[in-house]
Amino acid sequence: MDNLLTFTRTDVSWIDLSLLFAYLAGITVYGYLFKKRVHTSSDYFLAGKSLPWWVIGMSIIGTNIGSNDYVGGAGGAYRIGMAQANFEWIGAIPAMIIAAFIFIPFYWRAGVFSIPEYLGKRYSDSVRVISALILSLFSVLIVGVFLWATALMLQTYLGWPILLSIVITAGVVGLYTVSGGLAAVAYTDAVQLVIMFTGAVVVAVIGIHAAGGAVSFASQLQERFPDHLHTFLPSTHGEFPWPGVLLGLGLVLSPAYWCTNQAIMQRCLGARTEWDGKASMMFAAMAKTFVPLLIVLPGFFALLMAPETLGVSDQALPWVVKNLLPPGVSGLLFVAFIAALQSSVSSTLNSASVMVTRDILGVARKRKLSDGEELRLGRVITLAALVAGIFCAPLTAQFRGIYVYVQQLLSFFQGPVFALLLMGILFKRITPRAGLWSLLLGLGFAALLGLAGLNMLYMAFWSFVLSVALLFAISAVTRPKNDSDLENLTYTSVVKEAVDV
Amino acid sequence: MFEWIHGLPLWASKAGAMVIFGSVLAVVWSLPADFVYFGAPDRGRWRDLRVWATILLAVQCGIYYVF
Repeated sequence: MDNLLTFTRTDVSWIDLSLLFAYLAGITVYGYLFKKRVHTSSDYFLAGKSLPWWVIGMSIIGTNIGSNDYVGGAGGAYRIGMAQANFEWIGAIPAMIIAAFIFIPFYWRAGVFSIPEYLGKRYSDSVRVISALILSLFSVLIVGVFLWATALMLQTYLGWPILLSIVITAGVVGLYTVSGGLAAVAYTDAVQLVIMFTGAVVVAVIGIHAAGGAVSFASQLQERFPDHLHTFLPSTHGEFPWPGVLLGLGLVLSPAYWCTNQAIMQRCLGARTEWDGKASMMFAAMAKTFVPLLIVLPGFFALLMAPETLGVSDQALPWVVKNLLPPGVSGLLFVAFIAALQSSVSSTLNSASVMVTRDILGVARKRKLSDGEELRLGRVITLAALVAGIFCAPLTAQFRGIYVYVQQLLSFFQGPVFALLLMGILFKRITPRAGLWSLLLGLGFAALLGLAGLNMLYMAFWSFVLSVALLFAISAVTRPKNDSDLENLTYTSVVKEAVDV
Repeated sequence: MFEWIHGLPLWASKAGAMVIFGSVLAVVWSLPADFVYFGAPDRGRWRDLRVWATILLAVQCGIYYVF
């Protein structure tokens, strides 16, 4: 691939470039200022449990919307239409509500730093380490995806070589993430979300105007691409059949993502109160309702206005930026895009760091680390995860669509991990041994289904079903934990405590 | 594995979506108010997160009904 190393000449305006560099400098300095707040590992990993609901809510969406959503989401909308929005609506909102009411209270009261730590308390250290290994590996791969998506955009828009683009973006985001920890991540996420929504609204207005107004835009879509206006695709659709969307995405993948994703949940664990933690997810769900504005509309603009069919659907957004937006506005969208990348990378790095530091190395070491050692190790691990992500980035090019690649990665492990969390919270009778074996066998089963070529949505569903069945079957013949060991970890204990208070 | 579902009409997908939204709403309103407000500085009506959930799910029902 020639574009990995060579510059290409583009006609980007000085206004756009100025906007980009002003943003990069501003956000880096703002994020770096949070270094002064970090004195302990709790400050670094959980922002000292001081975050209000609205900052966390904005941070959640900033984390959730990555460059893969911009590029891959717009590409998906170009290819399959409004069905792409299922990932933002039915594939998010119900699960976010469940996460707010059912999961966050348990995590928050357990006083844990991570989801694997909760699993460790609920089940055993083995479950904690295995889940941390899986989630950390996913985090590194996903950082690679984010970096690749950004580099693709930089290459198309500025003509920069992909490898150079990856290194530069990683360097900028790494500076404040390594130094400032979760507080820097959360507050910069909030700023970045405002930029992202501003950019999206401006692009929507310009795109609809270019299509001849809202009525013309809607009627053109209706006449030329009626199949693109349905949220559900036929059950015979190869990529997103509606039964798979309902059962796999709606019932398993989405709850698994929103209830078990460490990068998402970490800021909720840093909430100043339990109510702030719950409200933050509800606030994020409200913002999530409008996210298709960011990702679906640009895909539709390319669909209607590109003179010929794009060879690669992920080129839909770069086409819109290059051909539809005037100088200044294209720069704004570009800044929004970089903001999305930075918020996702910083959050993912921070969460990978906490899992490797506390859930893998912390458990493996015989001597408990002092707080200062843990803080230093956390920073080193953050940097190491970033470097690993840089090396993983080129893998993304092997897949047909960036968004599908991310979902495929998730579908391998989310079913079993979600089964352990959900059943572990709801039923006191589920035993540590059942947790370990259900996790291992569920993961193996998901891998087998993947090798057999089963659609990823069904893969997640069936691995979840098997893990649930195994949890109950093995629990029936093994010994559960004592009630005192499960305090604040299961549904009955937490709800009862709230009512008693 | 899901061959039997292939015979269902497309409107069944919308019905399925409504069942999911309705089930979540039922779960939310089954939770005690004390649990929902736990940690809140006051018990103002706007802090009742069950109301937030109801609004969110109503919007979703509207979207999936239309599209």
